[in-house]
Amino acid sequence: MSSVRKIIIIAALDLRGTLSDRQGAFFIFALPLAVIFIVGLVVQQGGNQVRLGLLDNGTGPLAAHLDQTLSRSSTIKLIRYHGRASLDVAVRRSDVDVGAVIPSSYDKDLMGGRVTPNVDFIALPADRSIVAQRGELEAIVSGEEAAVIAAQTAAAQTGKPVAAALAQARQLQGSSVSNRATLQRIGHTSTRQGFDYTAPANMILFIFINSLAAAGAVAAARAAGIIRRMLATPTTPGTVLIGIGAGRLAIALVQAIVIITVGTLVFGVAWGNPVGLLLVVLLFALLSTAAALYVGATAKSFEQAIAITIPIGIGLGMLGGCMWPLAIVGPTMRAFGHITPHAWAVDALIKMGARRGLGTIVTDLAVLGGAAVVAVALATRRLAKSLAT
Amino acid sequence: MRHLSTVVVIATKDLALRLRDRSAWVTAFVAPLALAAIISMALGGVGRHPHVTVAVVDDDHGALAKVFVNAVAAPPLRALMTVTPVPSIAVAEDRVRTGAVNAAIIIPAGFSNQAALDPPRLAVVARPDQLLGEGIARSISDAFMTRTAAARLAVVTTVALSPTTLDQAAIAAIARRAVAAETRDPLVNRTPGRAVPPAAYYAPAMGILFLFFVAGFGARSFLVEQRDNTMSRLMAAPIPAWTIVLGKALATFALGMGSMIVLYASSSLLFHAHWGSPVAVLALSAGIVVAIMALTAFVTTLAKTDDQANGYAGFMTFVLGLLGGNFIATYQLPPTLRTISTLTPNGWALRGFADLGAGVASLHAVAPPLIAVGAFAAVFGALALSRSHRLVRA
Repeated sequence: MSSVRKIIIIAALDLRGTLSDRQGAFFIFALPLAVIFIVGLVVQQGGNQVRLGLLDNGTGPLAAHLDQTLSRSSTIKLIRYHGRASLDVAVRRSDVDVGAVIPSSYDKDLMGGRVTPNVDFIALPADRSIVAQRGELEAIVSGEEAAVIAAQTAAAQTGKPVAAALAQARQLQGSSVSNRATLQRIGHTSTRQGFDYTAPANMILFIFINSLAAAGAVAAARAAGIIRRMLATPTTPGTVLIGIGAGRLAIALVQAIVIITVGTLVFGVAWGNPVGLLLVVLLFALLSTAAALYVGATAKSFEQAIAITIPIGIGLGMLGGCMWPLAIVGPTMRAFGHITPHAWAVDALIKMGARRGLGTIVTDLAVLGGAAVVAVALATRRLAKSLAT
Repeated sequence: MRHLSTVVVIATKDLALRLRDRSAWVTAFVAPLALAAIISMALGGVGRHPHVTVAVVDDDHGALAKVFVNAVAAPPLRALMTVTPVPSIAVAEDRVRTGAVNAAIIIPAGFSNQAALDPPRLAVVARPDQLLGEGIARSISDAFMTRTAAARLAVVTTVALSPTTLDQAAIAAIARRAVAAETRDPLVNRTPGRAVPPAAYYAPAMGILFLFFVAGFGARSFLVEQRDNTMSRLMAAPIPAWTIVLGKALATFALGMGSMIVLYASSSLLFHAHWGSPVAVLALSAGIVVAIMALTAFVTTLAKTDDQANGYAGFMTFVLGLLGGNFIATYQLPPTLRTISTLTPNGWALRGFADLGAGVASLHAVAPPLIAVGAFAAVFGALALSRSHRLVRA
């Protein structure tokens, strides 16, 4: 039997064994897709409504009108509270994004022309999203006050009753187009939102984690003497080594194909240039396989391999921007994250997804290629040494 | 009493064996601390003291445009943003594209016309990835436009109510009168107390995640003892079977609690992660250690082989970890997933730890999470004990 045939048999056996195993299928396909779905939902919900906890202590018609306007706003999801303490707890627990309190003196203050702020805005300090959420609330409260101020001014000018002027001002206010700034987005993005981020990021995370988990199987096979028995047949260590590696590489590639397909069809993810995507996946799968073989050749037992690989897989994923975009962390952590191949792979996939040219990922590919060469060389040396002993 | 010493001997021996293996140290102590450190360093500074640079183009040159330019460059906003005046829209767009500024605000010609109900609006220009810059620029522009709308609304309301036509001087007088009343922020900032810092959430979250592995190795040690024939030797000794179960469980409990306590102490010292009341933290830690031990032991009794037990435990760890909020904080989950998280013991425990970290809860206030975690421990512990003959057999 030729060496190539032996390699194919070893790899095919590994691939078939893993894919036919329900547990294997769960970790390779179901878990990554579930994570993409859940994290994608979490990331996407940020763009929706502001969850506003409202404590309405108002007693007059103006407070009632403000309450009504808030509850009708399409940008606000209103959750009512009946005490300041429970509202504070809700904000601290993030049950709501921010809170607001309409005071009992709201009508009196406004009709009396009081020019100090009177609606309490309750938010945790130093949260970047607060600026926009405060803006939503401020716009509505200012709008309500604007109608009252306009009515008072017009009533003073014309001698008409304030109530009639208020009705007129609200009618005119309702017919105005908008008091919001227009928005124009230009240029390229360096990050993506929702599933467009979570699908590529988690594909990279799980290719690495699942490949590394194979280290446990390699360590167990070594400990059980299976590899020794393979070597007792007329098969060279090189053939066994390439066969094991090819099997794990095939599993990583099948996993990537499934995630890309489901990502496109179910989550509507745009992956961009197929050549760039293929190169990134191939290089990353290759270096993940090499890392797995290295750990598998080093660990003494299945338990030891799993104890090492799971934290390493999760930790590198965190550092490399697979669990949150590196765009949101500080410059030091961003630079530190690029010690991992994950960061380069995610960067490249994000650029491809944003339909930027193949030329923009040359550096990323070069780093991944370099890392893959080093990883394969180290793993080959280590595994060959462990097979020889 | 004689049996108690047997339990202690088995527990001590089991614990010593576990600690002799370096992987137990990694799983129980090093990994959760390292991952909590990464999260703390990566997310600890996120969102703190945001600052952006915004270009402003004045194509209007009117009085209101000047008020806006002065307002955005005024001291209250300096901590939040640096304003750079630029001569044209083209220059502003170029700076937005290159990332020299986070966003640009364009004041269009005609913006200062007070007599129109719908004058040209301010425009924000930003790159799609500059969400913070865009958010701040939009928020400031919206707030200014809404406030100045009162003056416009006063003019048009007066015009609508007035039987006579107003001249420019009258319009300006009405606008001035309205502006005097409305150029203010209608909201008063109040803080509800301390937020849950990422380290105070993710340190227990990572600790609990690795408890599944600690408990898993403990439960599978029964199967390993069966495989290596050491279980039959233990059973040949004149001791009841329950002492073996209790002894091994005690070893796992000690390692699990040790892991949580080390994580508590080290994350508090190293990252200033404030976990809250120590008594409540210890009670909740003990509860979740026992609940996870019970769950893992039950799952292990369902397995026929060591491999199968590994698979089941791995499946359970990741599903519960994902749904319970070990990877994504429960307070960031959408409402449905938050509800689902209450079906998991780790979800309840993390809810308790989050409340403790936020200073919301004391010992008596973490009663609901403690009761829920205790219920999981009781139900799955009883199920595991009813099937314990599968673990303690020759």
